[in-house]
Amino acid sequence: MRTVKTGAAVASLGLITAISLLPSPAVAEELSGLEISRRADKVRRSDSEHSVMTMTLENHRGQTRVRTIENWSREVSDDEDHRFSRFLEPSDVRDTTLLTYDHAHKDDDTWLYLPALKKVKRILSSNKKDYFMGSDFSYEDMENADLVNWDYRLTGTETVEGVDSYVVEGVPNNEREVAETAYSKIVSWVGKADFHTRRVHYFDKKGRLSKRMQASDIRPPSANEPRTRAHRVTMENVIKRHKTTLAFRDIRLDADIPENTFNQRNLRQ
Amino acid sequence: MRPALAPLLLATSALLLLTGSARAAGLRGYLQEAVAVKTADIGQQIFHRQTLHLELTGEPARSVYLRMAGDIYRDDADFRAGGAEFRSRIREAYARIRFGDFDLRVGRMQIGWGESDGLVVSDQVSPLDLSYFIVPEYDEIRLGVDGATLDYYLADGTELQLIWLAHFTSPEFAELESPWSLVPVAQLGALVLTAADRPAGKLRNSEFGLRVSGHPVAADWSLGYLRSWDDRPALLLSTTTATPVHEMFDLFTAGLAWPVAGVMVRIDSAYEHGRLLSTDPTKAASEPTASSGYAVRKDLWRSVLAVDLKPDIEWWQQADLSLQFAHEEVLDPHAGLAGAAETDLVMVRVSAAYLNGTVEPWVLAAYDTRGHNSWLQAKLDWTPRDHWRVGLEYDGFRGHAFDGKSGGTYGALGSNDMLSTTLRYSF
Repeated sequence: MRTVKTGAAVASLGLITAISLLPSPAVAEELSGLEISRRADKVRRSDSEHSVMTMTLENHRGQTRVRTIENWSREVSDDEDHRFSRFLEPSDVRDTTLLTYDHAHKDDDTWLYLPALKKVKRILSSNKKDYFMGSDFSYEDMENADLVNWDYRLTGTETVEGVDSYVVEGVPNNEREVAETAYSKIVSWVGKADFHTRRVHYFDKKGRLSKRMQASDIRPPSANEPRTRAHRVTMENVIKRHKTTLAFRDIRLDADIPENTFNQRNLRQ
Repeated sequence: MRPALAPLLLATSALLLLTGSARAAGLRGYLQEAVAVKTADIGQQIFHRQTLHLELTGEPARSVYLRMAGDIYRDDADFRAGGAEFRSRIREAYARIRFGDFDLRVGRMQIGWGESDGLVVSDQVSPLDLSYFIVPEYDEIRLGVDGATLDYYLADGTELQLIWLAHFTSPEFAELESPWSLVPVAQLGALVLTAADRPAGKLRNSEFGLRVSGHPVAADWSLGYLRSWDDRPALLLSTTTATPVHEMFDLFTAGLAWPVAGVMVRIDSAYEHGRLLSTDPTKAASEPTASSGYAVRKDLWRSVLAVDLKPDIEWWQQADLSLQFAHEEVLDPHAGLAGAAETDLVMVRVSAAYLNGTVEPWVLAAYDTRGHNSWLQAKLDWTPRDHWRVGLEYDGFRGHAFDGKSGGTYGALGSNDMLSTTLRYSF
C-alpha cells in the first residue's frame, strides 16, 4: 500500500507567504540579520489561510510528476499552528488527509487518515531532513524560520530580479541544531521594501551548495486583498539534479476557517 | 455479486449520477495485474489476479457524502481446478449524513478499529478476504459490512460511535485445494468438510457495538464493545463431517497511541468472551467435548505493544521502523485445544524511500517465539511515473503447522515461499 510521508509542515506555507510591511528605508538600512529574518518570518504569517498547492517534480531527464494538496491553516498562538491538508492528486493517495498541531518548542502532534485502511492514525512527525512527498523540499525547508537556534548575519545587499534585497547568512548556533539540520549554512535574499524572501541557497554539511530556492509571481492573491504572496516557488537540488515547483491558487488570507476544521472528525469520509 | 446488492448498487449509482454536477463528485480507481510464483517451482503460479477497482464519490449537499467502491477481478492461479474465475464485489456503498455533532452512515461500509498494523486485535468489525492469506495488499482484502453507524462528537474531541450491522458478513477463506488453505486436512481424516454454518440474515442475528475514543494532545485512547459473530469459525466434528461454525461472542477492546520521547507507543488490546474453539478429537482430553462437536467455549485475551520510530540516519531516507510484540492467550485453556493456548509474536517492520520517493523498500519480519514459525516479507515499490506502480516482493515462511506442541499459521504455509510482482495503473 502506498502511504504519504507526513510531517508538521505539509501546509506550512511560510515559503510562499508574505505580508508587505513596507518599513521606511532609513530604518531598514540599520537592521541586523536577525531583525531582517524576524521580519521576513513575520510577513509569512496570517491568522488563517487556505490554498491549493500543485507540486511538480522534475528530474534531470525532464520527466515530471504532479501532486496537488489543499491546505487550511490557522495560527492558534505564537507557538502553535493548526494545519489540515487533503491530498487531491495523484489518484492513489487522493483523500488522504492530515491534521497537524504544529508546536514551536516541542514535537508536533500529527494524525493521518488513510482511506485504504479506514483508520485515523496518530503518527510521529517526520524528521526535519526528510523530504516532503518525494519533493526537493525537506520538512525543515517548509518550517517557519528558527530564530532561536540559528544565528543570522547581514552580509550585504544585492539586486534580485530588479528588487533591492538584503543578503542574510544563517548558521546553526548549538550542537543539537547542528545535529538535526541538514545544512551548515543558509543564505537568503530578502526584499528591502517588502521583506519577501526571493531566493535562498542551502549549503550541506560539507559546505557545498546543495539546493537553490526561488520565489516568484509575487502579487496579491485577489483583487480585494492588499497583501501579497508568492504564487510560484521553485526548489532545485543541484547535486541530485532534481527540481520541484510549487504553484499556488485559491489563496485566501485570514479566511473564515472555523476551529472545528482542525479536528479528527474531518479526517474521515 | 450477490443479487441483493444489485438494488443497492443501482440506487447509489443513480444518486451519484443525479448529483453528477455536485461538488467533489468523482470517479477513480486502478487496474492491476498481480502474479506470484513459488520459489521452489517458478512455473507454478499460486496467485494470479487481474483487478479493476472503482470508487465513485459525490456530495449532493454540504452535509451529505456518498461513496461507492467495488472490485471486478479475475483469479487464475494454477491450483484452481475450475480454471479462471471472474468475480465482483461491492466493498462500500454508503451515505454519510452530517447533522450538528452527529455523523450518520448508512449502507455498506468498512470499519477500522485499533492501533495494530497487520494484526487482527481490536479490528474485528469488518471481515477480511483471506483467500490468499495476505498476498493482496491489506487495503484490497477488507470487506464491507451492511448496517449503520452513528458518531457523536463532543466539544473536547471525544467521539462516541454506535454500530449496528444488519447481518453477519463472513470473511472469505481459501478453498480446500488451495495452497493458502489453513484447514488441517490431515486432522480431518475421513471426515467430509461441509459448507460453513452461518447465521441466517434475520434481525435477531444482527451485530452491534459501541466505541468511545479521544484524541487529547497527550495520547489517543479508545474503548470498544462489539457483540458479533466470530469471523474465525470453530470446526464442529461429527462421525462423518466437519462443519465450520460461526458463533456469537463478546469483544471488549482498548487502545492507546502515546507519543513520548520521540517515539510512538501503541497498545491494542482485546478481550474475547465466549468464543467457540475447536479441540483435537485425537487427544484423550477432548473426549468430553464430543457431544458438542469437539468444541469448547473459552475466553481469550490478545494484546499488541508497538513502538514506532523514525531513525535519523543519513543513508536511511524517509526512515520508518516499527517494532510490535503480540501476545495471545486462551484463559483457563482446555487441555485438548486444537490450536496453541498461548502465542507470542515479534514483528519488525522497516521502510524507506529513495530517489525522490520513487523507490520504496520495505521489510517485514514476524517470528512466533513459542511456535517457532516465521514469515519474512521483503518488497520494493517503484513508481516510474505518475499513475504507475511496479512492485516486487519475496515472501518466505518457516516452521510447520501446529502439531500440538509447536508450529502455527506461518509454518502451515511453509511450502508457499514465493516471488511476486504487481503492476498497477491508478486513475
